[in-house]
Amino acid sequence: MLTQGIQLFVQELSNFLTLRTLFDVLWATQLGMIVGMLPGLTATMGVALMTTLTFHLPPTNAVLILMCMYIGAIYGGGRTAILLNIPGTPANAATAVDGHPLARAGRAGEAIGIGTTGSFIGSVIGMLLLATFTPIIGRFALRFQSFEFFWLAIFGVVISGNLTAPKDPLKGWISGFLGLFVAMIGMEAIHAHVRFSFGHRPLSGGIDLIPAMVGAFGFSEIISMMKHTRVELIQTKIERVIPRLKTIWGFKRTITRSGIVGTFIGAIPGVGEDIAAWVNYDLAMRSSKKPEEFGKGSLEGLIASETGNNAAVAGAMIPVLSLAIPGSAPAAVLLAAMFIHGVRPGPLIMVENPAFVSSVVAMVFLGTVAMLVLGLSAVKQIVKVLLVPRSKLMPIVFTLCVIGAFAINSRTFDIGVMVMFGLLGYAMREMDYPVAPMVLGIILGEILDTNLRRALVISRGDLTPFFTRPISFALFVIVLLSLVSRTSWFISGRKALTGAIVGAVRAMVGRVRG
Amino acid sequence: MKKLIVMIAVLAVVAVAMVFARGVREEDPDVWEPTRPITVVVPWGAGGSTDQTVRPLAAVLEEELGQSVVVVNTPGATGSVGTAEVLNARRDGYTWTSGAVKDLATYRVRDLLETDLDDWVLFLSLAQVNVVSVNKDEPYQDFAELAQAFLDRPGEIDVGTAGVGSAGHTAIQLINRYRPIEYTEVTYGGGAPAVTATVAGEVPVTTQLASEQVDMIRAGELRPLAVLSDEPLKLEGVDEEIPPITNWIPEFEAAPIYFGIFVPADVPQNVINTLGRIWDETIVGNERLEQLALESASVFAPKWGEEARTAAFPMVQLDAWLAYEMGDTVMRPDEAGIPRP
Amino acid sequence: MGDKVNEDKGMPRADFVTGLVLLGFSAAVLYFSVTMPRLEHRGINPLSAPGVVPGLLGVVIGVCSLALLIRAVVRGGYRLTLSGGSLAAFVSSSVVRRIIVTVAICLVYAWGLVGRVHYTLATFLFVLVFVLFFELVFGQEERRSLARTVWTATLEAALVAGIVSAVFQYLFLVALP
Repeated sequence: MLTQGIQLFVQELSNFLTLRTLFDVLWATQLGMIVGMLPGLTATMGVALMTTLTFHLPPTNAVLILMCMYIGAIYGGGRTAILLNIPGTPANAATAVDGHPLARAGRAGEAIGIGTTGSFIGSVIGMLLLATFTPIIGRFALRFQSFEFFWLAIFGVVISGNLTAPKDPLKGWISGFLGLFVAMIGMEAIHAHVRFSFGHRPLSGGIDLIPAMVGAFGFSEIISMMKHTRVELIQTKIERVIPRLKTIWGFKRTITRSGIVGTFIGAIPGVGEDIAAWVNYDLAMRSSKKPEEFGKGSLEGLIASETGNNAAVAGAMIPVLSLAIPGSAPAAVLLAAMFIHGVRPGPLIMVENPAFVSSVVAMVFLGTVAMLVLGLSAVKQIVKVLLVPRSKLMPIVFTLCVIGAFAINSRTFDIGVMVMFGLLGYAMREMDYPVAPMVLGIILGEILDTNLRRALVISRGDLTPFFTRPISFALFVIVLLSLVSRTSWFISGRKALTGAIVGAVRAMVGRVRG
Repeated sequence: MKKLIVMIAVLAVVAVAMVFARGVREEDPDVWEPTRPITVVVPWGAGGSTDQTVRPLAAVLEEELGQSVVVVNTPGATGSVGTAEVLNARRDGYTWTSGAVKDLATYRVRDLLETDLDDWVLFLSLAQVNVVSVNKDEPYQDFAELAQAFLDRPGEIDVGTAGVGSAGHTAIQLINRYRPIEYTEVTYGGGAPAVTATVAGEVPVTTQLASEQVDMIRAGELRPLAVLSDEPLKLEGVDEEIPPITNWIPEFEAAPIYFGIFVPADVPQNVINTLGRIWDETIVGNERLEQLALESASVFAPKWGEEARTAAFPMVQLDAWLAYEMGDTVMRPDEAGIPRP
Repeated sequence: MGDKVNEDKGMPRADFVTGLVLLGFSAAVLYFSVTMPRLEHRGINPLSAPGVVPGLLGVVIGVCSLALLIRAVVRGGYRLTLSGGSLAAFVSSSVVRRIIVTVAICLVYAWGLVGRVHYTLATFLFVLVFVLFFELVFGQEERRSLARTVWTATLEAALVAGIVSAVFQYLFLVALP
């Protein structure tokens, strides 16, 4: 079975090795990276755009271009997160937490190199899991139902709050819950009832994630960049972009874990690269030997989030192929594109068209390699962005924020949303509230809203299933731990407990030896 | 470096010139040659029935019009959010919406949006039917057994749909009208998630469209019990046909749900004329679109204008009056020009 | 952010105020959620009424802001002082002036120009004014001749306006505002 799979993969890969196809791979990945870097243009929009443009190409070439676009966009967003502290797509918000401090310390080249390598390895791990475990993981993802989605939404907000406000998680949680509330504005998805719009027509359509994100990260960053009378130009010495094997090997556990966990999270329908990045960042910090470096420029944190979000890309393809259910928003568009090209993935694809699965694996492989090559080439030029004086750079960034906010729905209302969230985001920063949990809250708000109410309807108002279904229970415990682990009595208690356990173990070991 | 700057400058000048040069061409009464990209709003999520109908259509239209046709997903509230955006946009023919005719026609009676069919010209491509299916592990082998279970355990059986105004919602209400039953409706963000939830076993029954269930039926994950039509439905790759609901409810009158693109009626006449011509000459008999329809278990039925309206109207009547009887509306449908079926 | 160090003393006070504001906000959310229509006339399951989740969020935000408020009070943040002198010092500080100018230029562009003036022209003006204002008026960035500063700013503005317009219109197919 495995050898047959490898055979199929090699065969499909060799089919792609024509000059024309390789050219397609390169430009699609590069365009994806640009889309990812521009604030406001997301992977979803990029893939949707290319779907129409590639309609006339043969199906495999079209899907290949879309895959490369997707991979490139998720990776490209990390660039701006590192260099400008403005994540290009929501998936890169966790990357900014450690990536930007590194850039400020003059280590932008190193950060990009590590991020790129992480993305590459994440993608490869995801690809391997995609190739081998597609049917099993696909089935498992189906066990996430309304009750589980409710906990997942809460979990996302809580850990994001913990991670971005390490000193004061309360403010992180407030930011996250405010984000969840923002998602309540406008027409709700179950009964089409308009909430909190107070008769304002554009508001009844709700506040779109992208303008809010572009404002909260982009515009607020512009204000804080411009406010100081004097800034030191960051002197970036590029000695090495491609990281040493030793460095990467040192993170082998973080990378492997992030790749596997990222793929699984990507595979859960409706939950995407953004959550994958946060969860992996959280796991990396918990298991790190140097958790105090997180948030101040930890290479480990950076590599965890970048590995996680790119692994989730491959992960999102798993339910697409095995169940025809998209694992993330860009994957939904990709699935529609496959339908349009007459490829119908689903439970029967392994029986009807096994070559297609290998073919998708080969596509992920090509896109990943292109990402690595393109990502590591031009770093020296890109890092020069940091040398551009802010009075010249920031107006360009703001221009892109405006057009990026506008581009999604072509509404000037969204430009207003961007500006308002920029001002709000700036005020929040000044008072030590992180903005990332708010953005994640806006993403997760609808998931929370519809799944909680649906779960209540299904259980006829009974709350016990939230705690008794196996996955629900596990998620509940994790959420509870994430909450109490940040209170002082828990931390001191844990220290005492681990001390006692270590002491007891030592004593026992001593006795056995003795 | 200098060369690069010169090149960029030249490019910029060309681009600026192109930007300024748009929109000076003379108007022809019959021929419409769009000078910039056209936006077609899909007021539902990517990958849903409307999305799958519109994207291939957009690609064909793009070729015919010689301009990009950009598909924008603006989901929310039975499609009324995206449709409202098209209503608010300039009526220059460059912004269209899409979806099911029955939704568009009942926005006013449902108090979702102030519009009705007179405001639009319909360009339809597909017709779809609903199928009642159950999860493969459920005991019900035919529609009679399921109907009996609804009667034996009133209110206990969940039915997964895409919510108010969706095809699945209308279908279960229609069944309810002929055979009064008590059920609990569980709503999802779209047809595809409702079908997924049925496969996963969160809800036992779904009444969504055939096109949304076809892959799961073929894979044996869902057991189709009846198609809401008076003829059996044959799916590609499935040996047994799905029996029509009239086998159990002989007086059942269903009507297909038509999907397509909707253009505001007060756009320049040359836009309507040009699209009509494309429909008559290119869309009718387009083999690729026909094959796509067959694969997705829908009926390829391109029509436009009055003909389209006539074909789609029975479902509009059924849906509007059903909603009225269930208390889903704020006015009598005949006040909005929809007579009782 | 490195500039937070000397603000730490003021933080309990800021938390006290934001705590109050958030508490008021959560009360308003709760009020609107409770009074939100339950859609009984449509025969909708009350467990899925639109107000359920916003109401819960209102409660959660309320609890969090109460915790914030209590903590701020414990740390002495309720002693609010606002003298005329400190306000004047606040407004005249160069940091505040720079923030106001940044926000003002950006707002004029985003709300005033885009959508009214041709997009490319609006962008050109915005970039030009932004660069010139910060390089000439505040002037700490670089010291170069006036002519050269103006010339490079104009070139930059033209390039940005042209390239962004062209790329978004023809590559990403966005109908510009």
